[in-house]
Amino acid sequence: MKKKSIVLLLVFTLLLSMLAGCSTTEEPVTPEEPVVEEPVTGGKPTSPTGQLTIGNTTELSGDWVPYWQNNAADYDIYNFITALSTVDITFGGEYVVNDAAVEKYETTLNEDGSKTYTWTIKDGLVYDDGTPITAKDYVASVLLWSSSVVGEMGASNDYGYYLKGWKDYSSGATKEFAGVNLIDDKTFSVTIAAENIPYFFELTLASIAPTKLSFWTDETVEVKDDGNGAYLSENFTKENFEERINLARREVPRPSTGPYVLKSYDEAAKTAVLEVNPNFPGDYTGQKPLIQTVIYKKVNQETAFDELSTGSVDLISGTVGGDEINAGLDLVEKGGFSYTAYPRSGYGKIMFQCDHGPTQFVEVRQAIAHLLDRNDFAKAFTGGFGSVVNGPYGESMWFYQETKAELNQKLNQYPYSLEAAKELLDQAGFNLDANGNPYESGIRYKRMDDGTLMPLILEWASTEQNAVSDLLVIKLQENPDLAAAGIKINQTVMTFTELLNYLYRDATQGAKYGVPTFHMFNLATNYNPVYDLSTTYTTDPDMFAQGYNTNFILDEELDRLAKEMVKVDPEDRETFKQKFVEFTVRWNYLLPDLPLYSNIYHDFYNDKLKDYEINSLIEISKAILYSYVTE
Amino acid sequence: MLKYVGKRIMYMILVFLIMSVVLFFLYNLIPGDPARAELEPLRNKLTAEEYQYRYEQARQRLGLDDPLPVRYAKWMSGVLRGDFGMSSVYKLPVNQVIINPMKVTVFINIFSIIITLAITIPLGIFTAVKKNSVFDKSVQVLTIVGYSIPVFIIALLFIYLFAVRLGWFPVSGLNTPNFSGTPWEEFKDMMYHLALPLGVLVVGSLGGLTRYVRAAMIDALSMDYIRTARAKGLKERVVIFSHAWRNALLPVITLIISWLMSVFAGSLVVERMFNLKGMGDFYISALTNQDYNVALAIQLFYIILALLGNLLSDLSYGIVDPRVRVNK
Repeated sequence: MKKKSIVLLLVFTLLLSMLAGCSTTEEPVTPEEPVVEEPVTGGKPTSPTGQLTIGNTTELSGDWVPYWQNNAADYDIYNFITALSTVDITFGGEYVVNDAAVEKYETTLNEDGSKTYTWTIKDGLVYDDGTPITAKDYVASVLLWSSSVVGEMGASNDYGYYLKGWKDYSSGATKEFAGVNLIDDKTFSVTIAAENIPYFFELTLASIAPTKLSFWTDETVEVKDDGNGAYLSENFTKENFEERINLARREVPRPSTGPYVLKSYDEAAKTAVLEVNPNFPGDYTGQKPLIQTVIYKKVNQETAFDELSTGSVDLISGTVGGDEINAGLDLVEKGGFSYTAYPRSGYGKIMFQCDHGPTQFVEVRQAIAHLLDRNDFAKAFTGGFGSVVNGPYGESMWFYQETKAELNQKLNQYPYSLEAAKELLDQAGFNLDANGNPYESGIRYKRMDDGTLMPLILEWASTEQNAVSDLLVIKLQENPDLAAAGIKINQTVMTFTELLNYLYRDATQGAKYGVPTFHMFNLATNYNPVYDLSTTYTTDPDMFAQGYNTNFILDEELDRLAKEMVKVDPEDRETFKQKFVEFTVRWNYLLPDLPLYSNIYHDFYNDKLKDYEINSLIEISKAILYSYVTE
Repeated sequence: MLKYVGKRIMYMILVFLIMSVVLFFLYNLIPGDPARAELEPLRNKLTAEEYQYRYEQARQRLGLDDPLPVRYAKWMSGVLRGDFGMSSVYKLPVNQVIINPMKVTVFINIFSIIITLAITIPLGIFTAVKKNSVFDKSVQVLTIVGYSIPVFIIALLFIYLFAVRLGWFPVSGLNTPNFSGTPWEEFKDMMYHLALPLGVLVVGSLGGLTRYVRAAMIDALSMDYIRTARAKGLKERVVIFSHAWRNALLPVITLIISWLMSVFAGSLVVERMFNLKGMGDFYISALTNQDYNVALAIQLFYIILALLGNLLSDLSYGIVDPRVRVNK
């Protein structure tokens, strides 16, 4: 009897699985499929309708605020549910006052050099649940996310970093945040610290979005202002609210000010479902969402296009690999699918450290540039879906676009040339052989001031399982012309963490890391619309020692130009562009990095998605806001 | 018996402690600075002074300034209280972030193991009984093919055939996003999504286990007591199941128990291919993201499972074969 029961149980389990698997030949019903308010037959709807599933290869972590982590997928969700900031961004990556949230604003230049933005918000702003949004909610953002309470919990409490009094407030030295004032229910002000003025992207420093404080704490915590700056009531302590804040980070549903509300999150499937926020007043142009439901789903790189072709997802964003793009283009060719291509705002690069060994000489860096056919490299690595840049910019940046003609004239393209490389190396003094005789063949040497001979051997640190490194071995390290020029490159493969130790020369991780060892690293860099490289090439000794300037390039002019570029009045676009050109020309001459390739991103989607436009300067939430679907 | 179990448990505790020391020190030998990684996004924003202040704060908060033995002592005292520390990726307690992947893995493995055992044991017995028949030879060929093909190839084949070409099943995932229905409908939806990964897991395991059961049964069937049983005129069913299978179970039981313990272990390849957030995927993600508290907790858990599995295997020998029972 017992045996029969076991056999029956096994057979039942087997059948159950097969039945559940095989009998569902039709798509599972989704009872909560949004009700189509009006039939859409290909035209643009006037109210939200339909559903869009976005496939992304980055996994959601479920922490919906960007203060404890910087996961790109979580940040996408954050942007879907967070808006009504005082400042918005255009499709071109420029910052503008958000007319949907701001009724009026005024700026005052104070005697101490600081600048105050006084914002008056519009009437009728509400959260998705109908709770009114007042000036207190805006002030709460700065106070909460700059507070020492969240700082001690491991959050980056830098929300009001550029505002007056941040340092004292964020460290808990003062109760009040001197640079933030609550004026009345509709009005508040923020004061940008004098040292940050002028700043070309100044508007971003005064950009504040509302936060529902009661969600993060409880009804007892209040925003107050006695005239010395706004502050949170004294019961806001780590002891009282650490547990609540940690819970709130992941809570769903949660208050939304953005075009969508986070309806559900499936931790096991890593899938988030967003429904339209009926109370969203629109972005700075008044644009409201036209897609009722957005689903954000994790996909694998290997099967992403199978998901697209079978309808499991409707959109795959940011495809970069040549094989993947070709798979997507095959789908487009078959019909029923489209794509949008746009340049990356950044590039893959060889990064030189410029204070030791042969790469301390600009001619050596330039010679390397001449010995690598970068067009060929970019084509091989990106499968033909990439380009080469000659400076620290992305091709989609408005200031690059507006100065492109001038830059093309002024920037050295470093075309492939063995002769040019040899000439540069001779100029740099690498014109001797190992015995100190005039160079004829083998590795070049240079006689240093102390009489020793420096060999032209470059130590290269690269990470394991890195396709760029593999291609660099073929195109550069094993290039016969490199040896013909008298250069030798030694590659050392290591983990990314170890590479960072060498990059930052972090002696705290081991004495060997503190010693300058590697001359070049292959890495990548991306730029955001706030193009600020003022600390990247710093010559300040303290910052230099702490690894801010990972190129270790001590060039006063480059440092000055990087700082001057952003120390420009926000209205003065022409000066900014002029400084950008000057900086880029200097950079192009010094070559602290050698850009290798800049990808052309491809977003593939099925034909039900319409009006989808995106570039690398805006978030996907913005692109979806202007799109719609036809069923 | 109790004395034997007690001794084994003491031995397990000792092995666990030794392994915990080895693993903790190994993980801490890996180059890396969690405090620096935490501050990396802020590096270009903060001034040198602010960066240094925050860096020191972070090191203190993460307990990185203590000597290694002190850190081990703190960590182990936490472990003994059920506190495995914080996940550096999720910024949550480890035992909180581990629950969901564990649920997914256990759910998948229960079905996978049941189906696999339901197929392989009868198949292994049948092929042993019908040794050298056409059926047996066909199964031998198929199992050797199934045994030889890597799981990721089987997964890709299944996805291409059943999801892309035939459209019977979804390519990946655990359920239909935004699906809502009765618990039975939700269960059916989940099984619909799990049909392909379960199929891959079962096919991937069929070859090895079927051949193992077959070999054990062939050995058992060749014994003298089987001939005696047949000579006594017992029915063939009784000979096979009561005499041969009971004796063949001894070597198979070790395998089955390790399988049952593996209900908590995720299959990295299948989970990655089908986007199932189980323990395999979770563990590899923890390693690649240098979330060492999570990786350590998972490894310790598997060590405990392995030790328990060994104990259960040994005890189960006694249940199956009275000759090896420990009576003292």
